[in-house]
Amino acid sequence: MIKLKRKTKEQEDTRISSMVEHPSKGDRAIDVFVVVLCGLIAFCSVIPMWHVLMSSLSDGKLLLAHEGIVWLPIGEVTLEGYSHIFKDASILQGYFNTVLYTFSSTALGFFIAALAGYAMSRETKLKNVMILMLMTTMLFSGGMVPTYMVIRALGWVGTRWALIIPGCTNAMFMIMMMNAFRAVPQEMYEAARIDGAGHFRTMSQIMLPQAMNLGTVTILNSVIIQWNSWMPATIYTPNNKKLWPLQLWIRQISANNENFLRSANPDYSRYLIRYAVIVAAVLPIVILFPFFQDKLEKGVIGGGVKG
Amino acid sequence: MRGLWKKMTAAALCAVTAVSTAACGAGGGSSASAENTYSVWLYSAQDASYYTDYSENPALQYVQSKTWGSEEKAVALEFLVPPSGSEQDNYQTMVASGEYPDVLMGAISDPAPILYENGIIMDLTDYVEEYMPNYTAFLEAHEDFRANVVYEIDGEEKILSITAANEDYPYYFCGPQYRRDWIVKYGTNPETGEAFTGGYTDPEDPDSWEDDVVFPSGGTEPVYISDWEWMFGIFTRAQADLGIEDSYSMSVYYPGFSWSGGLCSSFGGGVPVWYKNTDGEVVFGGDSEQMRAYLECLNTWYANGWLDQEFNERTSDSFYAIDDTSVRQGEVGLWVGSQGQLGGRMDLNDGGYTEGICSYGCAWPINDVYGTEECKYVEPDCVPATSLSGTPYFITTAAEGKDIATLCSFLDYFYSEEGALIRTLGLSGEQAAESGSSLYEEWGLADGAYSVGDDGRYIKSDVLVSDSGNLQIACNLEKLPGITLISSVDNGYADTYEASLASWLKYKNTGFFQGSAVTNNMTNEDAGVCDDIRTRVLDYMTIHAPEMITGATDPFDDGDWNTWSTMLQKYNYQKATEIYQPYADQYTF
Amino acid sequence: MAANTRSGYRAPKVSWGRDFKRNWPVYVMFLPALIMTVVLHYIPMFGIVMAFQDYEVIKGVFGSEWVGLENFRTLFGGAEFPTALRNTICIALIKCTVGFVMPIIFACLLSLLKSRRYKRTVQTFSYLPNFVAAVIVCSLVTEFVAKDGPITLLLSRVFGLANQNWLASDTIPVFWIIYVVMGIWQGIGWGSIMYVAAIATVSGDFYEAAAIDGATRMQRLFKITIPCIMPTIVMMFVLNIGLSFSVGFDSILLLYMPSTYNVADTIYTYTYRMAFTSGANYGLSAASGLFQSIVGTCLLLASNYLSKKVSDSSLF
Repeated sequence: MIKLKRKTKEQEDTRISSMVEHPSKGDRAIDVFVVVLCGLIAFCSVIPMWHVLMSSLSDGKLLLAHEGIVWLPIGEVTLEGYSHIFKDASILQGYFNTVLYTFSSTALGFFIAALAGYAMSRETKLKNVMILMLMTTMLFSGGMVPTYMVIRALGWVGTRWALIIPGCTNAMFMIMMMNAFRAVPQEMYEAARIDGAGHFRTMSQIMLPQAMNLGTVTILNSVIIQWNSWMPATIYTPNNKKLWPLQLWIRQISANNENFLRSANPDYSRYLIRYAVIVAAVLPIVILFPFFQDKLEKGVIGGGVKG
Repeated sequence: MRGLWKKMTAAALCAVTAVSTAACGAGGGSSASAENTYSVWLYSAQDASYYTDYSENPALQYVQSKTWGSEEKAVALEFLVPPSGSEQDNYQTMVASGEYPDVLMGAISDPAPILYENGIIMDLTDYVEEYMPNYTAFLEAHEDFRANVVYEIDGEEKILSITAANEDYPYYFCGPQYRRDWIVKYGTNPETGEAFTGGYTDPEDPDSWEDDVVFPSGGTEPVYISDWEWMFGIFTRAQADLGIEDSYSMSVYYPGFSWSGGLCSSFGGGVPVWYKNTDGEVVFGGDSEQMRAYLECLNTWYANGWLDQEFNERTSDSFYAIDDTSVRQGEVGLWVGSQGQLGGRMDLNDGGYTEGICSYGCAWPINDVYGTEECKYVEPDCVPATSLSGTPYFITTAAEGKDIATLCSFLDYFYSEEGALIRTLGLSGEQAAESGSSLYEEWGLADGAYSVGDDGRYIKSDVLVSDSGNLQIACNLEKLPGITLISSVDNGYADTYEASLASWLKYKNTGFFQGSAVTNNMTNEDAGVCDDIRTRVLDYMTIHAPEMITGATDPFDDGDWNTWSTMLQKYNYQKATEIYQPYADQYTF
Repeated sequence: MAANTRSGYRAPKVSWGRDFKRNWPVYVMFLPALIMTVVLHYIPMFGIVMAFQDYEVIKGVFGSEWVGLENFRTLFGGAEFPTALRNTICIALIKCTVGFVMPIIFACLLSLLKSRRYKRTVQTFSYLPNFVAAVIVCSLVTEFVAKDGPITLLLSRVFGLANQNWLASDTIPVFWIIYVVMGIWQGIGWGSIMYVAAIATVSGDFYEAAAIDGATRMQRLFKITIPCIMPTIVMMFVLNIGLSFSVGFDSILLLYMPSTYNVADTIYTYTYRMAFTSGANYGLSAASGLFQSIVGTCLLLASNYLSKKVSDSSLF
């Protein structure tokens, strides 16, 4: 059995810094260039979100007349946009549902993707058949109605299952897991097999920890996809608002609001809703993100250990 | 890392359990029996700020507390409402899976004969005759309503739907309107050259405007294209004086024409697609002299800076709308706007260009300037018109085992005056108290949604009149079929306001037939062929009409015009014309 | 070394019987994925036959009339189809080249950053645009490149370009650039996650050895980092090419206008207009989808073959 030595962050850090102890002039110029460029990219990336956040706090009427980026709230800072959203408390149920769907779909999906990814990463005669079979699902789709008929035959229409299970079969994730397992040194696999470990144990105890760097990426991707998902709910649970995920509530609120300008005496604070909903939907996940990133880095260091 | 797998498995198991336990129980206690509980599919319900589910509607709760039919049974309705934006998907999956609701709102469905042919909806002829005296009376009294509701199938007249109805022809909700205050301030009398005078007699009342404006054609309203051009000159002066940047006189919808009529019809009648001319012939107007005159006119206006210079770039605005923002800020002289923008209603009291605004509605103009003689001095005949018939509601075959008789008696109530009142305005104070819902009180409607005036007409509650949202729809029952009261309701309109609304219906629609009985009675095959041709023709015009208007190509130039008409002929519009003709002969609209 | 040049452990040719006997546990592990894919993806694929039907919702897949290749004839026969095809190809090409390398470059840049905290801040910020809905991003782009918009002003002040609404420009390749840059803006951070993860796996020993040999940072990047993450790059490249033709054209609907159809119209948008402007022609839309899927499959197989030839690493 292989013993995993685990290096701490500090050790890794000192090692990295020890590598660059003799920087040349060219290196230093590159360093500055890289720092500035990365800063620029970060800046450009923040702009749209900042614009949305500041707009959501602005005065609706003035905002409507404003053109270009909103750097600071226009007019008096107001939370009216948010009060419109949370007036109906059922949106909180939406948060709960989204968390539930995201969590279950990701957990189940990762389980399936890890198994399938491992299977495809081994040298078997059917390896390419399996890969091509999954790839086909990425390119060809029967469309909404046939899928609905199948889900209905399974008895999942109007239940949470219809929102969780179909999200678990993402071919992209399975292929990413395959690649992750392929990247694990062959010697580790062989050593485990010689030790008499079965395939499942080899995968879960030896290979998976090594493959967790890409594994975490698939988890992150799945979390984001599920968090932003609303389409399945409009098709499978349109009439049961208790099952609606957050994003569907948000679409509903935005749609109800689209034509407010046409009414006789428009309530301009409703213009803020289109911005406030984005913040309401994105903020939880943005706050959670550093936590995920932490996990990602830990997984990566675990993966960096040699056998 | 060793525990990771275990953790993941545990998490997956946890999730499964959580989902299983979080299953939710639906259904509420209702006094109605199962055969008197009906599911109703609505295209859209109410915005979530008033209540989450349409069954919480206080007016609905009131009628559900009553009994119906000779057997005096209670009726309960369960609503199925698709989330906004997914109505079409929802309808599609519903039809594909065969899981119909008992009552189907026909807002986006296929036409009734096709639904009937495919066994989706029931033949209601006998039920209507027996259980719906009010509906029958309305059908008999209104021949043009009947034409839209009764279908001839295999030589028999059949009633397939219970269709919402208007008591009278209602006013249209939008139309062209212009800045009357700018004309007073910056215009001069075309005959005497004197300045106009006018203003609000009561600064609090948005409808108290009075002035002595005279148009070049002699009246107090703009009638001809030349009147409009005279106004544009005034608007340009006004905008220069106010210092409005990038100004223009008139907003126009994005491809530069509207295929359903309006300004297009001002140049000798007709629309750029198919319409019925005064001789009863179906004609394609896309390459007609009238269309050419229209494009010549808009080309001239664009060159003069009178048209929105960026009209063809406003595609990302929702619904390809006009420049709503500039209109709202009072920078535009003439636009197609809604009832709520008339008079002084757009004055936001915050300075800006809406200060002292007075907006008057006007009819679409008559051409007296552009094109050949046949394009001049002809009244528009393809204009937005209102109709007595509203949305149809179908009873589907899924309801076959249920008590249809009681359902029909229940729905018939909304065709009586009492029921129509609840459907149009809402509950009276007593009814609201009886309904058991506290919502009326919360909304400040404890005294009811209306009161009865001295002349017997119903006066809308002040709370509803001043509401800026959709409270009216939240407290009435307009999502069910029935009669909408028009003339029995005193909306408290001022004369000027009423005159503006009336001007939008000055000309009658005798030409445009899309979406009327003519197209609804088409077979699927015929409709498919016509739709395909129309899509292609419209796509071509959408791309190339703006070029004609902005001057990239020239409608005055015979070469450019020939290219346009030969291209359109290639799409074989003649075939669609031939298909439409027999339907247009047979059905009225 | 983590990189997999797989030639090292290619299995010897074995008979089917031996393969099953030895690998049955592996196949069993694929079973959950197999069952779910077949049920949720393969069974519904009967819907593809809509492409050969005059599909009517009411009659369904089994009741609608068969029209053979009529839908394809309609699609390919349209006057604007050649333009739409050309634009689709060009936009897909730019996406697969410029759009594809940008996240890789960004990940490499991040790997060159020394301050862990700075790196992390940059990374977190760069993910943000990915969360903003396409509608808002499109409306921001519209505002930015409009006449007197911030980007337009920048371009006219710095490069002396005309102050105009760039989205209304029908000059090649203005629209394509705007569209691809928008995609990069939105996806650069998120797209880089995978490469950042892959770079992190590269063992520090290689760098140490290289540093002792006196390799500059740039040399280390090109000689060690990039070769080590090559398998990830290849995987993403093959997938990207396969999907480039059929996925991600929907936001063009929010950005184009009739006057720019000649540069902005793609197969997706063209089909959308033809099928759903008046009435709903699901048959035509299915035919267009099928056409795009088939082209995508060809591209996928071709790019996999190419990468096998060129870099000796491939997806299958």
